[in-house]
Amino acid sequence: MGVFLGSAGSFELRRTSIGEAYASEIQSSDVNATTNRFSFDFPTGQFLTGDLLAITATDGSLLDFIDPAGWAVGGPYENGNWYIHVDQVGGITLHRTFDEAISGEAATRINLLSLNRTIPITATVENIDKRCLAQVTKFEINTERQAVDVTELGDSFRQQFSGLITGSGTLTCFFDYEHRQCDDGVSPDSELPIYLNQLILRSQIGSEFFARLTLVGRGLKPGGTIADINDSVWYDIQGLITNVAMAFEPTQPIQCVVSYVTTGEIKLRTQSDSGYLTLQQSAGGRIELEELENGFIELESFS
Amino acid sequence: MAFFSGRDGSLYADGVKLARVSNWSLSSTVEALEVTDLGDDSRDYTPGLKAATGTASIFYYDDAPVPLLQHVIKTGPVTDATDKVALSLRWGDKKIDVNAIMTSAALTCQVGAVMQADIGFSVCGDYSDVVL
Repeated sequence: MGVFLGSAGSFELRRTSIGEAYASEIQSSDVNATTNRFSFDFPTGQFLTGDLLAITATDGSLLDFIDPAGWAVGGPYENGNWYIHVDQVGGITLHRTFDEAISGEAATRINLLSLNRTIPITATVENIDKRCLAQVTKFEINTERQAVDVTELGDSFRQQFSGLITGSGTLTCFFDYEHRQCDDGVSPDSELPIYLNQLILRSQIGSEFFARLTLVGRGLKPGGTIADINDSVWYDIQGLITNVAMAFEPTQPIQCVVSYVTTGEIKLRTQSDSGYLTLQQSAGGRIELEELENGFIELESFS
Repeated sequence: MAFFSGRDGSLYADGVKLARVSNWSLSSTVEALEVTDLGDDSRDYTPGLKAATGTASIFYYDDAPVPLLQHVIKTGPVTDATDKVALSLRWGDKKIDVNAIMTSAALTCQVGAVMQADIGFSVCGDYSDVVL
């Protein structure tokens, strides 16, 4: 038997807009090919720096204001997705990676070309990567089963019937808004706490997120053996931010206390085997990576 | 001497105890007919007609509420001969027996709640038996 400490926990976020597509149009004057910056009409806070934005031309035309070099393969096509950096006046620049989008440097911007027509578009947030939320000091998750009272006349004891399951929780983290050089606490691919402040204000496409709440992470376990090193326990949830509270007090660090509720199924996963993957086929063994273009893990030999 | 609670309650329809009843209620009234005369210093009344209405809620578990529902939610006409029900509202060794017609039946199927039928009835004629 072991006693587990909270230090093994982590809170990983995956950005999403739950398929809610925002419709707008890009006009020729919206594209600045000199600064590689463009825009379209969207409410402030709708799209956030670091979002993987999927843009689709709804009239079937090509997104040819994006330089062919800015596409993963070939291009232009009528749809594509890029990490975006949104500046303070709503200007958008496209980037290849999350880190580049967060930095927003001119050198990593994807080149844009002049546009001589109006393109109707839809935009959705379609991130597939989970990222650790930085500066987290504490998180809680509560799962609650509703008990429906079905006590009848004549009963001496209350009778209850299983109702629906509700999940909710809070998350506490130190406030931060940017990555810095030589930053010990925040790696370049971490989500920053300010994202949660921004998420609750996202009016049109909601404040949903996917999260993995690790309760027991990989590593040596208290009272365990070397065989337990890959064991892990985690919750997979889809959540909705309901409250973000911050207090400012002399002598105290600024913390964000974020409340959320879950929506949909709450999955409690356990892994108690080794981390090996078993392949059913015996030839041409390679695993394709979603994150990288033409990214594969090749298997040298196996039986 | 004893208190009564829902634990002591039950509801019978045509002599058969209904299952899964979560509550019943009965509201009785007597009309007050005014007989105040000129020169009186205070209003005066004489009793008029008695009337009573009631409600019952029954969990929709198997066919528990069907004996009452079938007199409201049905095809064909509601008739005095077929749809008047002998109800007995009981608690402990007390009871109120009435003949009643079902005047409403509300079925609710709701997320997060057990389905139940809310029945309303009106008493026809005098009480059949009253033990208080």
